[in-house]
Amino acid sequence: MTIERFDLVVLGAGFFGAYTALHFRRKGMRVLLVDRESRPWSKASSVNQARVHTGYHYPRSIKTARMANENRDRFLSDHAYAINRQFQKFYAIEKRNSLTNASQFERFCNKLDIPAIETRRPDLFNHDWFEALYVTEEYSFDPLLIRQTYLAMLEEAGVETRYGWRPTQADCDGKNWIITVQREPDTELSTVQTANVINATYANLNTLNRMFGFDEIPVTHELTEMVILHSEELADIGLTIMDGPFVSIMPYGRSGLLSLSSVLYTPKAFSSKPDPHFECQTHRHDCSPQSVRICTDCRYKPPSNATKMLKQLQNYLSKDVELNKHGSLLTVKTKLKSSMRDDGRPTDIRTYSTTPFFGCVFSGKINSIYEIEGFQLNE
Amino acid sequence: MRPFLSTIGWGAGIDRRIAFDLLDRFVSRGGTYIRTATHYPSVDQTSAFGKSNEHLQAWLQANPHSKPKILCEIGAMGHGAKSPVEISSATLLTMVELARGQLFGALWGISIAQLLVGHESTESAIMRALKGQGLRLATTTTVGNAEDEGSSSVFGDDCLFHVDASNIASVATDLYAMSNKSVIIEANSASDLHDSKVMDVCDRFPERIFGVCIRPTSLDSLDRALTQFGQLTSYDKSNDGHSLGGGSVA
Repeated sequence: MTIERFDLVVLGAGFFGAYTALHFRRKGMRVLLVDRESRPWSKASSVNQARVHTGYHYPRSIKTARMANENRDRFLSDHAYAINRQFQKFYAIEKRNSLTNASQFERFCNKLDIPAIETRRPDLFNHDWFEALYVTEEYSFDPLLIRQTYLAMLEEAGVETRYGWRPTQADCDGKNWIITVQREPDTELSTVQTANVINATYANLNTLNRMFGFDEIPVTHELTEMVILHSEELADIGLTIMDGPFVSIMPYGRSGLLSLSSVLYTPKAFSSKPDPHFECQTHRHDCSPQSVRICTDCRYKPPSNATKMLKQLQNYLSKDVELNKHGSLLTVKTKLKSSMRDDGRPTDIRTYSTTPFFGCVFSGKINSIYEIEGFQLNE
Repeated sequence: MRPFLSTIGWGAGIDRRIAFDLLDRFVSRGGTYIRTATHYPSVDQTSAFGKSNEHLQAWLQANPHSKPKILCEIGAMGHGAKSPVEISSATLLTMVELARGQLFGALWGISIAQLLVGHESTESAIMRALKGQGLRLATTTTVGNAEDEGSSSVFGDDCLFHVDASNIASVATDLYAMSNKSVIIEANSASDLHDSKVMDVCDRFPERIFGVCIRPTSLDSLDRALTQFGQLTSYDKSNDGHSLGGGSVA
C-alpha cells in the first residue's frame, strides 16, 4: 500500500479544524483534513446559537468573557459576509431565580466596558418576570453561510480533504505519525504519514487522544436540542434571560429564523464518561461513543422537547407575539469538567508532543478560532 | 412516471392515524415518492404550521427501515403562507438542514418557489447552497416563465417543475417548445387524473412527466387515485419500474 505524505493532518472538519487546515495551508504546508461525515460541519459547529460573544453571557467567568471580547473584532471583520448586526439584543435578569442580580450584571458590564442600557419593551416581553431588561450589543453569525464559504475556501486553497473517512490506527516511527484512515461503509483503507497532527474532533477528542497515546481531557457531554422558529414580531430581536434555568433566543445568522435554547430542556441526555455514551446509540450500528454521528438527521434521536421550550419562552413574551416552530437541530455538546462551577467555556489548546507533533484544540467558543495560530508545528 | 403522495391536508382534516394508514398503503402498493412542504397543511392557523411533516417524521421513526424519497417544498416562514418570492441563501441553507432533521435520509429533493429567479447574484447563490447536498431540485415556477426569464439554466436541466393539473393546457405548449424539461403534475383530485387534457399531455410527452402528485384523504380515495394513475401510465413508454399497476391492492 502506498503511503501519502502530508505536512499536517487535521482531524475533524468543523469550524476549528477547517480554520486550522486553512491557516497552515496558507503558510505553504501540504495539509490533509479528515472528517467522519461526508457532510462535514454538521454537528456542534452548525448547531449552536450563533452568538458572537461579547461577554454578557458569562457573568461568573470573567476569563471566558474577556477572551470572547478579545477575539471579537477580528472575527467580525473576517466573517462580515455572515454576520447579522440588524437586530436588537436584550438581556433580562429574571426576578426570582437568577444567580446574578441586576446591579451585579451592571457592574460586570461596566468592568468589561460593554454597553447595557436599561429599558422596557412591554409590546414584546412580559415584564412581570424581569427584575430588569437591558439593550445590549451582540451580533450573531450564520454558521451555515460560514460552512459554505470555508468548504469552498479549503478547496480553493488546495487543502486535501477526506470527508466520510475516519482514523482507525495511529503509530509513531519516532519522527512521524503513520495513520490508517478508513472510508465507510465500503471500508477502503489508506495510510498517511505526517510530522504534525491536530485533533479538532470536539465530542470525540478523547477517542483520538487515546488512539495517539495521550491523556484524556476530563469532559462531560450533553445531547442537546436547539429549536428553530419564526416570529413576525421577533424577527429582529434577541433575548437572553439571565442567570439560571431560563431561555435564550437569537437570530440564527441571516436566515430570518430564530434559535431557541433552554437551560432546562436543551440538554436531553448527559454523559460524564470521557467519550459520549447515549442510549440512542444502541439503535445504530454506525454510531457509538467512539464515533458520534450527526444527531439532527438521525431517526433514533430522542423525542423533541420543542413544545416545552416554546411554552417556557412564551411565559416571557407579550401575548401578542406569535411563534411558528420550524424544527430542531441536535448535537452533542462537550464541556470541560473544570468549567462546570463557573459556567465558563475557556478554549483549551494543548500540545502533547513536539516530535512528532500532536496538538489538541478544544473550545466551546467560535470566536476563539485564532488561538490555533499559536501551535508550533514541525517544518 | 411515478405517483407522488401529497401530505397537503395532513394536520388539517387528516389526522396522524389516517396519515399513517395512507403511507402504509401507498408504500405497500410500491409507492416511493412523497411530496410535502415545511408549511403544510396550508391553513391559516399557527397550531397547524408544520403538522404534515410532524406526521411524516413520526411515521419515518416508526418505520426506520423504510426508504421513501421525499420532495419537500421549503421557504415559507409562517402559517398560511405560501413560499415567498425571495428568500436568502442563508434561509435556504437553514431550511434544508431543518428538513433533514424532519425527514432524515429520506429527504430526496427540495422544491423552491419562483424565488431568486432572474437575479444574477442570487442565482449562483442557490447553486452554491445546494452544491454537495445531494438533493434533487424542483421549483413551483412555471416552465414557460422559467424559460422566458432565462432561469432554466439556473435550475439546470435536472430541475423538476410542479404544474397544476388545471393549468395543463399551457404546460403542454411549454413542453412542446422545450425539449428537456420534466414536470410533476399536481392533481387536486382523482378526477384530474382522467381529465382529457391531463391524459393528452401524458400521451404526448410520457417521458417528460416525472410524476403525478395525488392528494388522497382516505384509503378509498388513495386506491381510486392509484387505479387512475395506472391507466395514465399505460401511456408511459419509458416506464422505469416506478409506475404502479392499476389493479391489485395489497
